Amino acid sequence: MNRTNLRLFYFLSLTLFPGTLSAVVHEGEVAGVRYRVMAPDWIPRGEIFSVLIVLNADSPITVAANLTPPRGGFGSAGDIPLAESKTVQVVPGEVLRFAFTDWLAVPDEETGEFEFQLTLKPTSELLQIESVETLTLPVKTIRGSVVSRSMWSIVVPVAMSLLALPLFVLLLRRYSRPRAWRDAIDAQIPSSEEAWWADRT
Amino acid sequence: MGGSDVTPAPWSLRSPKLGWQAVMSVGAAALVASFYIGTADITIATAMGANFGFDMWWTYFVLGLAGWSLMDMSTRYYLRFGRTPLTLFKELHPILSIYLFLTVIVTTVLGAWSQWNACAHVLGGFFPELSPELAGSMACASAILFLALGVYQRVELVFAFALILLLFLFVAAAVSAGAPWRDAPAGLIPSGPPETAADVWRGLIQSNAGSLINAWLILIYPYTMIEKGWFSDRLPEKLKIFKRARFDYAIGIALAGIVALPLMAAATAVARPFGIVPGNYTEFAALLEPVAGGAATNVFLVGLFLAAWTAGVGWLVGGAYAMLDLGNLRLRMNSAPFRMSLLVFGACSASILALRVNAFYGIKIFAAFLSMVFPIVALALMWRVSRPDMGYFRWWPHNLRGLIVLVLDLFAVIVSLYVGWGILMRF
Repeated sequence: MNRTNLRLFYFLSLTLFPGTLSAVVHEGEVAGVRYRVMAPDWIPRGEIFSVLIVLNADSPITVAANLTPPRGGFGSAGDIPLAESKTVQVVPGEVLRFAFTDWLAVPDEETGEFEFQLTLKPTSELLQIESVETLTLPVKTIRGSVVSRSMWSIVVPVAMSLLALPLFVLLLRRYSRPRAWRDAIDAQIPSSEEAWWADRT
Repeated sequence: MGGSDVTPAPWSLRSPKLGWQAVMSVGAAALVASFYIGTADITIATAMGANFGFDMWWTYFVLGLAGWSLMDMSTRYYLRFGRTPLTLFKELHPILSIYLFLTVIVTTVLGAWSQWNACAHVLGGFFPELSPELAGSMACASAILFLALGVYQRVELVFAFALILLLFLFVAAAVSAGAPWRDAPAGLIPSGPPETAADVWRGLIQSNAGSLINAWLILIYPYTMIEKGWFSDRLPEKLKIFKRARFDYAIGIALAGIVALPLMAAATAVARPFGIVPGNYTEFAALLEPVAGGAATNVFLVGLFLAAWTAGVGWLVGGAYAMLDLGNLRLRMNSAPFRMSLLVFGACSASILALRVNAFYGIKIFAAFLSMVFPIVALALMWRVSRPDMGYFRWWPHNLRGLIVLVLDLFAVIVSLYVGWGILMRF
């Protein structure tokens, strides 16, 4: 395999089979509860951050999940966001999926790196020792949309697209006959080599 | 070029048989499908699945029928007169040329931009160090290079393979997510909006109509016929070409509904249990991971990239053809004006990436924006095909074939008006 082929192979491998999508994934077990937690590790400002949680266990158990947001960057602008809690029942043989969502990366704040903290606390009468799993979910915010989510997000791109207008006026003036834009004429259709429709009888 | 095919009564001749050569010749079905299977289709199918499961699958076929009829009208006009679709607007009134000039520029730039935006989103998911502007511009540059170096026949062939590949990728992602396929057939039965989410339901229908009826892009099919020289002055040969063309765009439109199924299925399987309606493509791909594993996520994203990139190419091709048509220039992909149009559209669409508008949100607004264009296109088409000079292809309610064509034409125009009006009211 020469160097060009090796590069091609490397590029295709990277494109088709990258390690993981850029995301934070935690997997493990706490007090008999198997968990998989997933969240994006970067997000544009103005977008919603969600944490997805998948649980399963061999015996019935209650799990209290608590998400503590960072002190800045997320939630409502200017407010200190409060932690969010959810209590779920895990039934043996079933996969439980739930999410913490609607955490807004505040558009007006500086970009930077932030950390959410997620705790999973299983509780059951059978458990002798209290177990708590604490997971850190780092997330980086990058510059988001320049325009707000309203009519502006269509008006501004439309205005920008009209920049092409003078270029096309010049192009048509260069290649077209005068007044071509208003003359309805027959198309110049090339003769086809295949002509499968031709009646040869 | 009009021919003298006035002897037989309209729609009275039996449908001609197509030989193997006709059936097997690569048609523009894949190219037509690429306009439909872009980010709008993916966004809308995903949102439908996450909100309503399979309940809205039928909308692809009902709205697709309207899209098919509009394409059919432009093909009939082309076969009757040997004229391009935009010529009919010039016949109606020259001011419509100006309207179309503006519409084509705006919709092509925005349509292509929304596809590069989705490509950037996918590349950003795999390679976070790439900025969205750079990633989207790379997708745009590769599309221009592909078209500038290629010839038309090669484009059709590449698109046919790309379509098969992306269908396979989406099905693979949905299968590994354990999608509830058994519920899918029930989604083919038309149903009304649920009381609790009627607004969301109506919004999705209107966006889907915007995506499937696709504004002036619905007129593009005759351009592909001109590129290949599909035309004859003799009525029996016209009918053969007509039948082959109908088959082509029926496949193209049906594929949009078929591709929507695995997307709806995946969203039904993964988004609904989490109680999330995905807000961006990476979030949807991330939703797949805990259920279907990392491979499914990658497979979905590669499929999304392919769909967005081919749709971006489709927008560039459609826009460049329309510009040539407005200037009465020769419709050839390997001509200088065509390539220069590609460059202008490419540069303008890539520059909008700097705004960083959310791709998922932008495409919903854009699809709704398209819906405000197609009522005018539909009315102009109806005006033209209802004229008595349409010869064999004119409206003719005196036999079954003619009656069906008439009913479908009216249906398409009514759907266009209804959806266009509905969207105006929402704003």
